[in-house]
Amino acid sequence: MRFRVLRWIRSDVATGNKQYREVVVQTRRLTIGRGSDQHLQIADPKVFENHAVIRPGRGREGAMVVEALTPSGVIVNGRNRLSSSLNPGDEVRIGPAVLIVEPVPKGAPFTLRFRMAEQENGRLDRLHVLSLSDSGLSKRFWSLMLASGVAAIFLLVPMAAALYQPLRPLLRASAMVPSDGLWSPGPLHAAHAFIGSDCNACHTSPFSPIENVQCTSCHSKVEHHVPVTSNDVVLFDLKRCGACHIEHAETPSVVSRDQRLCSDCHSDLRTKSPKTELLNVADFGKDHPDFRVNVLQGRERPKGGIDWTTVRLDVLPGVKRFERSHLTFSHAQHLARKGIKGPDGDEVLQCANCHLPDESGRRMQPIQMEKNCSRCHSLRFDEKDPTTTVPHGDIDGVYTTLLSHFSRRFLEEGAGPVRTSQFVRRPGGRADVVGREEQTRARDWAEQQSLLAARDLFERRVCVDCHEVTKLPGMTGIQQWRVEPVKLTRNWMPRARFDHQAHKTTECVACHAGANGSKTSGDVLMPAIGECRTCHAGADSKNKLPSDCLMCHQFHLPGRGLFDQQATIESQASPRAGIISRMREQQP
Amino acid sequence: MHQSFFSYRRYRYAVRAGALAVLAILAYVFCPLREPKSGGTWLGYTLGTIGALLIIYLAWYGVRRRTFGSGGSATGWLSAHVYFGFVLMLVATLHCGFQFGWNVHTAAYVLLALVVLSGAWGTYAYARYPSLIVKQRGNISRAELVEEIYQLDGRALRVASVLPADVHDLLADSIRRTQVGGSIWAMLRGFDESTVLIPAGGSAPSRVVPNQGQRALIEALAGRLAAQADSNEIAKMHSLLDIVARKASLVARLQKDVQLQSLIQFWLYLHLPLCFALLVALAAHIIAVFFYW
Repeated sequence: MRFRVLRWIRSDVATGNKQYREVVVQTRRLTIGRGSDQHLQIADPKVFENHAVIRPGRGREGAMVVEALTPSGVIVNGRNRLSSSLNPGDEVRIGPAVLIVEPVPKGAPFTLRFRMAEQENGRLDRLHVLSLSDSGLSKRFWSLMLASGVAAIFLLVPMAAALYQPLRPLLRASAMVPSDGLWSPGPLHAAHAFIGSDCNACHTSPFSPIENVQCTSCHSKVEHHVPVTSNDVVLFDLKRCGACHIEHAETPSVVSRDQRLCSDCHSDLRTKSPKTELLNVADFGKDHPDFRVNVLQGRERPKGGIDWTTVRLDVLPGVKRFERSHLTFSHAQHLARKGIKGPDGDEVLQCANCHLPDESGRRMQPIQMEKNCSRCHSLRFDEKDPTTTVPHGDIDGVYTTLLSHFSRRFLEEGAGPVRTSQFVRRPGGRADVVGREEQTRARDWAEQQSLLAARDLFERRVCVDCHEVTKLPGMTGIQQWRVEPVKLTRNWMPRARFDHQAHKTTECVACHAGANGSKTSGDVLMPAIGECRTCHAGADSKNKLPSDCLMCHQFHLPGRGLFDQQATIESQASPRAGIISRMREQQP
Repeated sequence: MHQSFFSYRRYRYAVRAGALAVLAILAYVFCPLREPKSGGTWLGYTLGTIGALLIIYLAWYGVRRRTFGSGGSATGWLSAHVYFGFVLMLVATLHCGFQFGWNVHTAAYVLLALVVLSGAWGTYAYARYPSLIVKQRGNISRAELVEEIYQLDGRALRVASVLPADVHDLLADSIRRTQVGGSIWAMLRGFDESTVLIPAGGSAPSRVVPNQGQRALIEALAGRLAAQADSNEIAKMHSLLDIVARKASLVARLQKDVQLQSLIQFWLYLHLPLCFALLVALAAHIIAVFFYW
């Protein structure tokens, strides 16, 4: 259908006739608004982009309806309407625009007369917005909006999650919803990541610092740095776990490695703990005492047996330290370049032929006769019967073995002295029925042979190859020999941790210098600190591997007692502490 | 005598703020901390307390501005506000130990940064725009400028009323669609968004075209002038063109004035709301820290 719009331009100066411009629009809906795509464009900020339409209404033919497309509506004959039917003579106002419905003969296009209201009094000036204060921008409004938005997102909603339990799962489930997760200053350490968004796993009571019990409720076996029964415990009275273990930090390490945490006390330990045997230390590179090794020392008990104690000895370059292990062993001989005699001819041995790392790779397995020595050092005692061996480490067992061996030989092979009598046997009777006299002779012979063999073992060939054997005066039989007990040091430096695995690309002798020239097993072949300092230096070193205290030492030491006993006792009322105390009861 | 807030009392507050900055940096660099630097160390708490007190002191300037005659000179307060505002940014950065994340703490930091940035803009605006405004406005006030434009419009319409109706229509439309200021963006940008409806002619449909500097109108009028034969009308058209050209230069001046005025004001529309948001975020930050200690 067609719309005819008569837009008023002016009244003619001479005649006073109103002059119009006529526009005919072919459309079903006449659109009115501020937008440039509208049929009737009204350039005014109070008018919406598409403000209203005029379209045919239902009912009788030719009925027209004006319909507002915005809630502000249109004014029809002075009344604000969202929708209204239009009759000839009706006046529609949209912002400054005035539309008057013209009466037209039947069949003629629907006609509107259109003018701008301000044209009536001749003023064409439009309202210009010339300053920000007129633009609708309000400091007060935006202050309120921003402040309340920030309060809601960062304070009120998180507080609701923190205080009102039923809301927690809802708020904490999604990262897109604000929750008390927004209060977290940084990520959790990977080991604690399983805790996830459950802040209250550790933060149990608001406005109070985390207590150690929150840590020890899981880490229940964490031990102290000093024996909990000693007076030194008071030095740690105020120490919270959080003093060294920092959670929610940007750096993903939960252990604070700053060596001043150690050197605060250890750089002058004697003033803190007067009885300490420990030497002062401040930095591995510049201020660390010489290594000290634990060396075993045996002391004979009056009633027999030996008490083993350890003494700590400095390892200094050029100073030889000796260990009394009661072993006779020459590294030089075993590692000789030209080789050493083995069961299959000469062999050239390497360190790793005997010294093998344990399963962790960090430490070496203990040396054992059966595993490491017996391939070459056999315990055969009878040249005539090379399959027989004596047991290792059991003198009584050695004698029993010898005795039974020679008794059997006497009986089975007719070995021994010439028999003085022949028995008359009943035909078909048992062949070896031995008479009493014969038995005595056999035993005497076997004992004699056993002692001969034993003397050979203990004094000449086999045992003495490796062991120190003492001949006890006034004793006879097998009791006259004593093999001095052997104890090998398992951990030379128990106060430090060393990882062979991490150093396996280096030759053994690079650190254990002199091993291939050592002639006695008493030589202590542990490296001095200088060997380590070839590559390692203090924590702030620039040109060597920076090595802080924790690289070799630990804070929580075994056997010192539980770190936070006090807290554990106090917390026994809480359900988690129940688990702890039960765990504790199981401990010896 | 006028004294700039920059150099107030021989840079008294610049020196004090600078001393605080140096102190904070020295403390940060040389403090014997055992743990990584963050807001949770004793240094962090100290710097944080200083920062929070500074924020309250700086925000108090807003209150001070509205109460006259007490507690020192307004210039002094402004001088301190500006210098300590910049140092506050440094204190806050050292306070957090350069640790940032998606949380209330960094949100407060970002808000602080925005407040300081908008303040910096304000400082720049007050240093630069006043002289520009005076220079380009000449000796007339804005109201006089607006009134003169209205008067030119009226004169143009009177001249056009005896010219053909379509010329009158074109002119009236151009006046209706002349745009000075308007939206916030238009004011800040100072862009002439005026348009004019060029009526249908021949086969071309009517269309709304940009009328920047009244150029489209002048072009259309010049086109009509070329087609004009009546010498009387030619003279009228000439004077109409003259009026439109004068209007164009006045509109451009008004436009520039509106732009400079809004630029000198706009930063405060950011500074104040952000400042209120910052105060709330600061409260949330402090509560959050101690709620989950």
